[in-house]
Amino acid sequence: MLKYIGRRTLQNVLIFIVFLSATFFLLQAQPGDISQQFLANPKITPEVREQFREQLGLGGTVGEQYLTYMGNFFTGNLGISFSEYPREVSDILAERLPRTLALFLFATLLSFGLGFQSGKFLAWRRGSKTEPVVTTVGVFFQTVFYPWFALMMIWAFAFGLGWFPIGKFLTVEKWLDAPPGVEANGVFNRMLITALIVLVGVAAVEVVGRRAGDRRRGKRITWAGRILLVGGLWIWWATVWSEQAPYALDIAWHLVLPTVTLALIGFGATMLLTRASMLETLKEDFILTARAKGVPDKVIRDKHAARNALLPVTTSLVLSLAFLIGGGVVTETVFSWPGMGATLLSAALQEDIPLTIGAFAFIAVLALIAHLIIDIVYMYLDPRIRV
Amino acid sequence: MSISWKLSKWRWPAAVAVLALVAAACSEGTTDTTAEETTTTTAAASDDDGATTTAASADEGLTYKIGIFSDLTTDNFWAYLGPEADVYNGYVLGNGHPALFTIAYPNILLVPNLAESDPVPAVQEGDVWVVEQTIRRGVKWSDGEEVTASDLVFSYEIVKEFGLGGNWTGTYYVLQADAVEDDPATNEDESSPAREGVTSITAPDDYTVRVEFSEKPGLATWNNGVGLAPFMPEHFWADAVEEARASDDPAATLYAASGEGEPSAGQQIYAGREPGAFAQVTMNADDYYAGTEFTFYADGSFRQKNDARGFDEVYNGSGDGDITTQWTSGPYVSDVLYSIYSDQNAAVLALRNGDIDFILSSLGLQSGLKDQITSAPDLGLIANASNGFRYLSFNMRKSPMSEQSFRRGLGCMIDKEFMQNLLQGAAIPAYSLVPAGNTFWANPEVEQLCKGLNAEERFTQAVQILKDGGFTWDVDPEWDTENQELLAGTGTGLKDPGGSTVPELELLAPGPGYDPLRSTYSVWIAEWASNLGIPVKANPTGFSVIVDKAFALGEEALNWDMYILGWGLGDASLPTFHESFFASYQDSAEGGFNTPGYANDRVDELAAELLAAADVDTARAAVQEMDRIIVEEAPYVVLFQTPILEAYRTSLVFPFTDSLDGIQNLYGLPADVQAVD
Repeated sequence: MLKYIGRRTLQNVLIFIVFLSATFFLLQAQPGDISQQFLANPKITPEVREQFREQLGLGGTVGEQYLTYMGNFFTGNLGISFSEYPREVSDILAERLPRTLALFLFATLLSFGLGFQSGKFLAWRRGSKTEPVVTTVGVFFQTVFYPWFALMMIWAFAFGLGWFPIGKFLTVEKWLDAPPGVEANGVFNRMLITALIVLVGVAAVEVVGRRAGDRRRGKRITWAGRILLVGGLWIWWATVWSEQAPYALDIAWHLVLPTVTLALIGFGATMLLTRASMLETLKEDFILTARAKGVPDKVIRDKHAARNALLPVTTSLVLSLAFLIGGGVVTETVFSWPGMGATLLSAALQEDIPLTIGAFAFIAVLALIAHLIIDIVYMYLDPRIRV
Repeated sequence: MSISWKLSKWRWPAAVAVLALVAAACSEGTTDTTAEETTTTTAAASDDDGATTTAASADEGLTYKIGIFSDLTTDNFWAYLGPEADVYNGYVLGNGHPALFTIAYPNILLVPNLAESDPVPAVQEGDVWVVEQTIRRGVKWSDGEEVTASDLVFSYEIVKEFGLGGNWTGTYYVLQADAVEDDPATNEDESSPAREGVTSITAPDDYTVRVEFSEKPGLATWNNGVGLAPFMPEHFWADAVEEARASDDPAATLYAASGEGEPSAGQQIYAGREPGAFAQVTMNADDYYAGTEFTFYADGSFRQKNDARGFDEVYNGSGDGDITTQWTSGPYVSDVLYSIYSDQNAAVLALRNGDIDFILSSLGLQSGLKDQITSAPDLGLIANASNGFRYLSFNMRKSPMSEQSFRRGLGCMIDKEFMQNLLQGAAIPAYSLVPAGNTFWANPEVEQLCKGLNAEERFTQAVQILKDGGFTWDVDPEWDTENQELLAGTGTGLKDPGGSTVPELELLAPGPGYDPLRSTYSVWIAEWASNLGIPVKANPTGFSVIVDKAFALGEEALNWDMYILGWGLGDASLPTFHESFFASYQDSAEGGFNTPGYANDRVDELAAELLAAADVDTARAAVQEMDRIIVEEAPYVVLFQTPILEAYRTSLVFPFTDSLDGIQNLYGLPADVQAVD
């Protein structure tokens, strides 16, 4: 297993190097001259320009520039932003990353959960009256023009009904009274830690419950574990992080609409693929055998069919991550959510090359890490891979 | 649990979604029915006819909520006027540091602020020129310390000692003595602008500022230079300055220091921010000018009167006659919140929803959002001319662009009024370099080449201009009256006055993704040029590509023919851009801003006169004459201006809404905005 993970990690590192190289050569191929782009920036003094030229190796050949660029990157030197000079790119990315992670984590989980569950039931209830309706809804979400849809969501649920705020990630008036030390990124980080604990905890409790032997006992263990986990976190937020709790709730409230919007966009594809995959699986002989043995419908559906149908859906999830990140640029812009996507867009429009490369690279790192995690999950889901 | 029960759960979200859309649509309908009301309310809110505004009395609990489109990059005023000269930093930080003088809007007039009187003329004392200007007593920083002359001395000394750049250079005009001595050209040329600057600022007493200049100072150096330089509170910054002085890079260390807690002697006090989300300022109720009545008269004079402070002053005239604008300064709000939005659509929805009261953007709102504003009953729309222009530039270093008749002939063919209609009012025709909205400086007599002519008349006149200039064709161009274009087979073989065939020319313009207005203009200009037999190919391309070519140095300055770009102009109270863009010594091939390579001795003389002018009448005469000559010789053909559209809640009232570059240019008037009674 470790060998497999090691091999996949190495592959991802190689892909990342290829990605960085492609980014470098694309920038070299663009019209205009990178050195001229920052020469025109009045913020940057002649001395600093000279430092930039040296740092970026602009005096040398393309090969030398490439080596300088890769060397800088792998020594953690992402450079100084042109548009937010003199801030370091790594500092800007560290500020924006938690907001994007929060958005993507929740949106991906919601999208996958909603899509998989609905696809599963659609396939199981093939031919029902609701099937064409739900399928049409799925196709709508898969094909809708995203910026328009995001604006419509704001218009309907924030402006029209007033259920949610119109963009942004916090309520200004509420945060004006925030005690010293409570700042948005700190709250975001705590929310992310909580979400990760919930994810890992729920998975761990599930595994322990399944290995309990007796089914009823396993269920009890699972439920007890879930209650302990949620209760523990509740107490932790109510006591240790009590100062941050109301502000976390405020951010969570702002998180709902962009998360749901992003999730709806991703849900259609997952649902349709799950449905197709389930329908294929349900035709398999082992399902017929299970039915013949009198295995209950629920067990056939959830354990025999759904688990096998999950494999192509998981592959699709990996592939769709890139789309989700791309969609994040739109989401963050429309919802005034200043994360990595909005940073990337703004940096690209202002021709802030170091920040653009930095944002691209971070998004690539996130996508590759997600790939690696999915690979590991895949290995868990499909024992053949472990062999 | 049956599957059908589980599936039935889908009905709820579906029903909720449909209901949400229906409910939202219904609420939108309500808005439409009351749209007519908007006009009335908006008209009442604005005060364009000169009447005194009727508004509620001060409401100390009121928060003025403004939407902005970018995060602040600093809270340090030194950095804001240095490397962080971002407009959004300016909106929040730019209203707390007074200067000797200020620009009074909407008439764009330089008037005393901390100074007790109009700018005192400089007198010669030996080798230097000296100004001694007294400042007002009783002006205080918001922490109670008095504003004194030593604050200005401190500011100047830091700018000089640390070599602060950016806008600091253009405010204090620190004379770079070493640079002058090291530069032989400057040493030889006694009229070189590089020789002019401030050699010292001292404080003979707490209320007198003494400024010494190396040469007789012009308006740009004194009135609009040091006169507009901000006073920095010495007592607040002294420790940070000491720390910076002890560091390896004092300027960078000073820029990096926090400005939180800095006292203000202006209208706003910076109160803090949450990165990516919002910034906050509190209004300074102890501002020296709080409660002052400001009045502009029809003759251009200006009065500021404050009984509590004991002053009643009139500038630029007698202070009699018809009042054009009058208001009493607040603050009427207790604080201002700046919420950051990434998208104008979302900001407009927030405005309609009551989340914000005004939208601040240096470029104004997209014209596509106009309907959303005008259809809302409680919103008003403000439209003003921008302080800038979009233009067509010719590379006069090579033929045929070097020929005035070529530039004027092509300029005559450009139908700006047609383009205004085509672009649905988004491109307002412009003929002079100084925006018409800057009424004091604009030359109303400037030539409006071929304005009002129809297509055939333009064609006839343009052909005549080209013929008069010595251009010839193998087959003379003729107009096809039926198809309203060049008659097929005519207008071929265009030759310049030297007899050389005019080659295909390239017209660079920003692409449609960056600016559809300029991109569309380029296509039409190419079409109009072809009607004269001029082979022009429009090339919409990247902004940076155009800038790289237009500002290329040396021989590379020959690598372009024509381009379309725009300029945002600086200080509207003293427009000196003619000198930057058209003086022969500013040739872009040698590192200046004169991209056409235009050279005219008379313009150079006028530019020198402008820079040396010690009074506004002399300066205005020089500006207007330069404008006339340049428009006639057409190194640029000025094409259009874009209107600045702004939106606000009609529950608020501004003292005036007609102002060059919009209310955004005045930070959204936070000290004067009031709640409607």
